[in-house]
Amino acid sequence: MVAKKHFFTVLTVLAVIITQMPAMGSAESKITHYSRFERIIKGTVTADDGSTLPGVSVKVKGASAVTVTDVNGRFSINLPDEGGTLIFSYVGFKTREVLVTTATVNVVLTSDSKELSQVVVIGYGTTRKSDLTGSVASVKADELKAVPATTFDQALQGRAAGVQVTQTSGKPGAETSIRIRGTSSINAGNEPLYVIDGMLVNSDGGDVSTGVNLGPRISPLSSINPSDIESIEILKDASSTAIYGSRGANGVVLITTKRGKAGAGSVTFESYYGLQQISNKLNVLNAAQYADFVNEAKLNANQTPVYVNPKNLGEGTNWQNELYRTAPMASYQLSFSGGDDKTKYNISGGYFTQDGIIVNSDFKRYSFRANLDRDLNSRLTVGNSITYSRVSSSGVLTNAGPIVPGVTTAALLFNPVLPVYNSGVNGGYTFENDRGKILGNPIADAKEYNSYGVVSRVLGNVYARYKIADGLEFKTTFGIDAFSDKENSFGPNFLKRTQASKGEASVGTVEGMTWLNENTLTYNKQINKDHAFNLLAGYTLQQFQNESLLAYAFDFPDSRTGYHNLGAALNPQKPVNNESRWSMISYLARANYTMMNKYLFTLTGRVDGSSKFAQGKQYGFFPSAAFAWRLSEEEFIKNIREISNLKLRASYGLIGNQSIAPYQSLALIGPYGQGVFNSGNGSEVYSGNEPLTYVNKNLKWESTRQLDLGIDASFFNDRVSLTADYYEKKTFDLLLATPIPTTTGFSSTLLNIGNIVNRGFDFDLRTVNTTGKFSWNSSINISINRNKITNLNSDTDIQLAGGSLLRVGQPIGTFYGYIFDGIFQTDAEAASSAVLKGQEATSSNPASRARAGDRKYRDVNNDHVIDEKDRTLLGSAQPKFTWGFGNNINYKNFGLSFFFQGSQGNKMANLNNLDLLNFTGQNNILAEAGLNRWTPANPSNKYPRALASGSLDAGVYSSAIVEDASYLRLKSLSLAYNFSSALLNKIKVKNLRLYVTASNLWTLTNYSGYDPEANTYGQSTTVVGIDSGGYPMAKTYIVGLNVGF
Amino acid sequence: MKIFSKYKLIIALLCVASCSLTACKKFLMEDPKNLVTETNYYKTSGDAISAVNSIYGYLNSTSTGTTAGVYHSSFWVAAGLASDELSNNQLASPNFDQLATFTYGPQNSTLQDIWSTHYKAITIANIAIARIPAIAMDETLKQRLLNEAHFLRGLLYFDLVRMFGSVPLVIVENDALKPSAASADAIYAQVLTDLTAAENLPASYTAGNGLGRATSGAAKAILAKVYLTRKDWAKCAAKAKEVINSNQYSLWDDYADVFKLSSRNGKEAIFSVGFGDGGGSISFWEVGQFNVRLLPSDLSVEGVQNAQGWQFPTLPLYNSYDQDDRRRSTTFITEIHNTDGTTKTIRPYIQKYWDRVAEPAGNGSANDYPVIRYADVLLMCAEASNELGNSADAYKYINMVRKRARFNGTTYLSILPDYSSLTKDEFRAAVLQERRWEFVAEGQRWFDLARTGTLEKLVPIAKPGVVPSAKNYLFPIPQTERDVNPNLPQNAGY
Repeated sequence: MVAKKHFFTVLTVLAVIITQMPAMGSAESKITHYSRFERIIKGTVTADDGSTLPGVSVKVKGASAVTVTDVNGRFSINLPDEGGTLIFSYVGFKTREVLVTTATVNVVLTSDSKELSQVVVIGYGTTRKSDLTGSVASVKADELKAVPATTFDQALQGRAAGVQVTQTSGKPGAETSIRIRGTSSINAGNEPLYVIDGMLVNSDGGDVSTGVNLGPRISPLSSINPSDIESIEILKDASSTAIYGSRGANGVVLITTKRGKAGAGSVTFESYYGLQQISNKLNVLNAAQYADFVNEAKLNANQTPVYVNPKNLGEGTNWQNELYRTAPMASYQLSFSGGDDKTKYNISGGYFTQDGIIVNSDFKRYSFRANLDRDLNSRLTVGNSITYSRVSSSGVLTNAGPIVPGVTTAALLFNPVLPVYNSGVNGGYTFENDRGKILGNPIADAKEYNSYGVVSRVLGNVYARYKIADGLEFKTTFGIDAFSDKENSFGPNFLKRTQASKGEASVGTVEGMTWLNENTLTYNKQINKDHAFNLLAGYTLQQFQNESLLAYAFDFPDSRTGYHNLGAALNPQKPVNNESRWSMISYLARANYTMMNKYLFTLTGRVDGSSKFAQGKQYGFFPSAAFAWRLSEEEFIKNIREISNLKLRASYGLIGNQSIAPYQSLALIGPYGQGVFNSGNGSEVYSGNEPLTYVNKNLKWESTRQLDLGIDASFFNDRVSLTADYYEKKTFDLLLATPIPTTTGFSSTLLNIGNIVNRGFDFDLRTVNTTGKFSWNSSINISINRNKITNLNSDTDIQLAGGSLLRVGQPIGTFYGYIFDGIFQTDAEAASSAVLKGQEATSSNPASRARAGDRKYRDVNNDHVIDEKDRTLLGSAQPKFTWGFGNNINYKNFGLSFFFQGSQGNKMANLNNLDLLNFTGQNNILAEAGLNRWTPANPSNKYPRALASGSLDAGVYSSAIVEDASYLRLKSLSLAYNFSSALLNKIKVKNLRLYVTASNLWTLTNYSGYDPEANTYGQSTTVVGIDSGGYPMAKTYIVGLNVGF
Repeated sequence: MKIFSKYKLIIALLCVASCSLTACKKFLMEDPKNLVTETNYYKTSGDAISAVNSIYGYLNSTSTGTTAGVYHSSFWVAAGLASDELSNNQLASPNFDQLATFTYGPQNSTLQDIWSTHYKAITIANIAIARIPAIAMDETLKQRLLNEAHFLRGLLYFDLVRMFGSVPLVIVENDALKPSAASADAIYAQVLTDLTAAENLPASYTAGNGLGRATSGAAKAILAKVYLTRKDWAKCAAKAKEVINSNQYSLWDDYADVFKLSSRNGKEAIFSVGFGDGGGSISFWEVGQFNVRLLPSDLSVEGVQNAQGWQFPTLPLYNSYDQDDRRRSTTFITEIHNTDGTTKTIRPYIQKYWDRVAEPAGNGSANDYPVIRYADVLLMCAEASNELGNSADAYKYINMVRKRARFNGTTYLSILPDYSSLTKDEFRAAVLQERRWEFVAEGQRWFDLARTGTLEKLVPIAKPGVVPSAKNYLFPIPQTERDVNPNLPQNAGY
């Protein structure tokens, strides 16, 4: 209850503050005194490249008068005395002091060394990049805008070293999976912590999903409009993440939205319209080829062929063409920004709409944001960031796995001989694949199985900042992240998929919120020239809660009311509801000490208390220390003109992970002990209750010790700048489901056991290749990570879905199966070789005996039988490295940018190929494989013979389906035109930019599936690199317009 | 513009930032409303009853894991196989083959089952014993429930200490994750404490109202067996006499009536474990607990379903009976009735748990597992009396059991004459033999041979070539358990 009390106090304080706030002042400065000596000084401030600078702060030295330049860089200020000095300051430029000698003062500001003065957001504060001791990657709005992204996390791909972003799906708004410096957990989460304007938000799709919607989950982050984002900082090392304690182990992503700046108001309208297409289609057999293939499979099994004259069937139905479409997308955003020296505002509204490339799937977002800051007096500042968004989406069933395939899989496998529609059947669609593989008509599934979800989210906080004394400041923030999600789905009774349920409908809701109260005290102190201190202490409270309700029903004789009338069902099911809640209390502190501007020290610590852990183990302490040495400030380097900056960094610290579900340390009681007391011919039934899990009174945090050694260097006046880091993350006390002695009454529980190590390098190189009229900048980043499980507390492998396993000494995402060893070329070879059980020459079923044209598997243990013991490691989903390469070229008013991105050395288990390389004729297969299948005349060593029955190797998980998924992709290519200000001034427009962008335009890969980035299991911590019927990625072309008034 | 004085503000902020430790504790307390947790359970008499019921519930079978409870299909099968009683006929079940041939090791999965099912039930008993005292409820009922839990825990530890010797003695809730092993003596001491407490249980219950729960008679009967195993003859005889003199129990006149469904928890049953689905009100799998594994598959021609005959008696066991011994015809089946009226002779299988009349399809399993029945008490009393030199009692009680075996349903035959004038050793052999005939497939034989030190002598007679050794007087501690608990020493010889 203490928490509640605190909010009320905070709210009262803020309410008082807000009610007493005066009406917002005008943009002009206030003049408090007027004496006979006062003069009005006017002038214009320009940058060194000649452009005028709005929003520059102009201050009279030694007095309180201050103003800012207007939209044209002009200012006007009253000077109280003769002479006097004006101070001009503006972020990104060197502050200039000018002695006033004339009534007009025109000033040119020279840009500061961009690298060093760049302000970087860190946890609970900001710092200049030059003062940074930790490893922080920064991505600015311009870079995010290069790709028309539905959610900002997609735009991060390839932009920062050490950050691996995978799109789990091409479904509009779907989750992405982000790994910062590798995978460090098995049972707890691996996604980073997201902090939006100081608000620690909930990014777990599971909390914001009822499970009703078809296909992959919508990302909770999709409610953030990417256009509102000013910058994204990614905290990577322990020094920068330890301030987030138990939630920092997977890295922290800080998102800062745009705030108003002093200066005349500006109105910006941004808009684009685009078209998306499937990035590539897979070539499968057409009707004539398929019929021929099926006939041969039947003949090889001594069965009667099915199709009389295959050649006459022609192309047949191209199911992919029926399913995929060219889909439009559009974005509109209007924002107002500005302010004076006391009040600043940035408000915006946006509308985004996107149709999916699969029929009947779409995404829409309405978003509104208001960021306000107001100085109430010289000491007290209040403000807020608030956003409301409403996201709605329709989904189709994809990523469904191999047993009941979704529409993307069915579109590949469905018999091409059959037509889409069949008016003679209830519903009007061809009902099912008629060749053996259980598949529903993908077009019917996509168009008629409806699924619709709406997520509303309010994310916002209010703050008050009070300057207690010189350098001492208190800040309190109260924020909430409240969401509600409603999901509906309906499948009419005429689909193959609903054959058993006779029509099905679900309606689910989730309602939840997290609130956060943070209180921090900062103190800045400079003691003479050589000692600078920055101290931070804070106390925070956070609580999360959600409730869900799911109702569903089967057997709808009438499909017309869909999910709108669950009561129409003849077979209603039990409703399910659930709730979850957790809370955290934290104490945090940080001390920065800069000595002689050369030696930088940072000490950080956070104590986190979390309700998720056992009593007595709830608190954890997460400290870190960092040291940086600005070598370039030393005399012996200062003279080397080529070196403009050189800094060495080292940090070490402890961070935690607590991403497990609540209530795992509690003893839950439930029924299993039941039975009867028999007596004569009767019986008395009894039931009992007992704890359902082993109560681990010691359940605590996962912990990670991270070492980071880094270098920041720039040369030739910042023309070349490099950041490089080596890191080593050792995670211990892994939360792992572990076998325990059965003397406890249980055989396994979640224990803090197990270790994982991630080691790697992050490189980020930026160059200014040319300047002047023709300017060209490049950036390249490379991430290298090596992941290894070093302890599982057991020598036994843990088998996972999709043929992956966890084994000590191997990375997470290791594939396991048989080695495909070519094709038997003769019956004699097949008869004398080791073969799968049932394929032996002595097998009772002659049809299943191995023959020429069947697949060979390697007898790894040389026991002349191919069985489970011959399975072996088949590679890993972990890339050797991932990289991004961007270029911006400007010539006169034209701007060209292109961005390549890629991943090298990662394997993918293409589970689609279990079917697409299945030669039984039960379903369609890849054209390349089908047309080159083994026949006596075409002795392929890659593809087996067609064989309708008796084939035992269909579905065998082998190296034939584990593929190299390295790729190189032209992620974006953009051409822009900026209209000249001379022209724009005439029509009272400040700036106007037109651009065309293409994304995912070109990909180089050997991967045989739709996309080498597929990741069917989404954010799963351990099952990665699996492609199983995902929603394919789109290629996008857009034209856009930005206009500012 | 001054809104607050500096100090007022600082005071307000300090209020915001302060957090007393107790309040923090409460803020971090998990209290899920949609789940029943131990913090909001064990509050009412209903909770107390259900806490104890749950222990009983793990004696039969469970709806998770292997579905096997303590007395479902591992304990009594192992006790029969690891002796001269049963052979294994189930293909591809190396665990049973190893038990039958004394080639088992720490990896044997049946032994792991026995171990873990016993400790599962013990864990629940520990919780009941820890939690019930604090519940405000009727004091008489409270004491009864606690004593039922004590009885069951004593019984379970008695099984464990006999089979495995030195094992962890976990008697409190949430004991060490990796407990050390306690000495056999310490475990026996706990068994005696628990069973002695259970002597305060009611003498009986009425049908449908608790009949089948542990009674004082059950506690005394098991105590007698503990003393018998410990060779404390006087105490064994005394406890057995208490049971006999309570007049709660008597033998069925006809041995064939002992295993009738209508005899469940009847006059001869002292403590039994009920099986069956309560007429469909229990959803989990119970079918065929005895009959599936014991009845011969040949019975399918008689309409019996799912008879697998996974374990059958050794031929020397079958041949050791007098051919008119009522126990032989009740215990074994050797003839199949074909539909054409002819009969087919087969090797003996065990049919005693099959109530042909009540359960003609034979695939049900509503019969009880007899943990201890009155005939056992009589034979224990006879055995102890012989050791004590009280031959009057010795002959009296052994001959009561022997007399019943002469009854063929209508008349007493002139077979199996009453014992008299045996030497002490001869009497020992006679009582062991009588137990063998009486308790086939009742989970007694390994314990009887181990207790009397006759494994090496008797097993090779029934199973030529199978030679137990000294190590076989204890089973090995399961390896899976030792893998996760390094504090457990292995028994000698494994």
